[in-house]
Amino acid sequence: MKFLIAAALLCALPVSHAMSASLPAPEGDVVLTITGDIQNTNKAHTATFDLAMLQALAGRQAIMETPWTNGATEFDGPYLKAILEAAGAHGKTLRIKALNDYSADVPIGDATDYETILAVKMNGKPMSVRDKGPLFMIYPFDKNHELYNEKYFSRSVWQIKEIEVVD
Amino acid sequence: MKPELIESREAVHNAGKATRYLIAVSIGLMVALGAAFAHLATRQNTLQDGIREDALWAVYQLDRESRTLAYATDRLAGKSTVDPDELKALSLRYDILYSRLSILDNSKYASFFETSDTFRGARVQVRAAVVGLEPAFNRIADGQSVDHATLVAASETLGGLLSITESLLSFTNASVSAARADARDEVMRLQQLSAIVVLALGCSIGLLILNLMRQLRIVQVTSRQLER
Repeated sequence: MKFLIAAALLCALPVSHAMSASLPAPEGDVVLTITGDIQNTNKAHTATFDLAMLQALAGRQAIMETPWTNGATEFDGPYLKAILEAAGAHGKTLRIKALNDYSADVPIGDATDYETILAVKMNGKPMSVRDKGPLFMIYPFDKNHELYNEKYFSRSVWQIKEIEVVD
Repeated sequence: MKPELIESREAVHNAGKATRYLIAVSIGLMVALGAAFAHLATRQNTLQDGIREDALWAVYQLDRESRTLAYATDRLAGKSTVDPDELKALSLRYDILYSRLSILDNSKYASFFETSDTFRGARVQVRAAVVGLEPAFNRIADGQSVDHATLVAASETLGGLLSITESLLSFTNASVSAARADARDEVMRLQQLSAIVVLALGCSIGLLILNLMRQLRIVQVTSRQLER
């Protein structure tokens, strides 16, 4: 019996390692690149994602008001936590970078403690760069009202292109 | 009734009247103090400061993106041949600038800016300039080639846009500074008013205590007179 268990564990180890390191290559245009302290890569030392890969991850739809939109707006996208898990990220801080080179340092707790998403759709439509897309970091202002302040507004980066995982 | 007792009765009557007046004044002062604190709390909770700072940031971003696009366009307009990747990057810069237009139209900033003709005029001019460039940049985004004259024309339009965004940034900065100073003055005025009301309330309570002590003394004197 002990032999069987040991054999099963031995077989499972390489599989689990392979699963943790496997990240399929994107088939469409890359919209997000994760660099830094990550375990799962698919291009050089980075994890790259296209829209389809992001939409396949666990996420949420939420209707809320934000300082950058008029009235109640629906956002839809994967959880930041799910994206970081897919990339095998290990760090304390995320440096979120936008297309115009704006960046904001965000504690990784913002991804694990809250249902923060990287919105890929606004009001049911994909977001173009002109609409603050392709990715917009949205805090759960609808669930955690205490987040509705300048501290989190400055972390709500839009037109995201890259996340660097740093210590 | 003895003349001393009549005198005491008058004194007690007057002191009672003064007490009632002092109580009324104290209540009035307490209400005024409560109102001042309530106004101060409301003033602090309106998030106006945040909106003003965000509005300034939005205009700064608009100016920054206009400048980046203007320089990039100017550089490409000066070249004889333009690489497709450079055009793609230029198209991205235009899209980023375009995205800033919606921030200017944001209703939250409107409450701060809409009273100003200068801001309304500048916003219309900015929108006209950016939207006017849209057909050319849409062609670039579609992968079509653009001729040298189009880039030169875009560069000239962006040069004009820059002067507007510069003025808008100066105006916004001045407006935010003025609004911040006004808000600070208002808070200072409220604080001074509160201090005066607290002082008056203290005086009123002090007088009330003195008056009650006087009443007590008269009652004691009267009591001794009745015992005789």
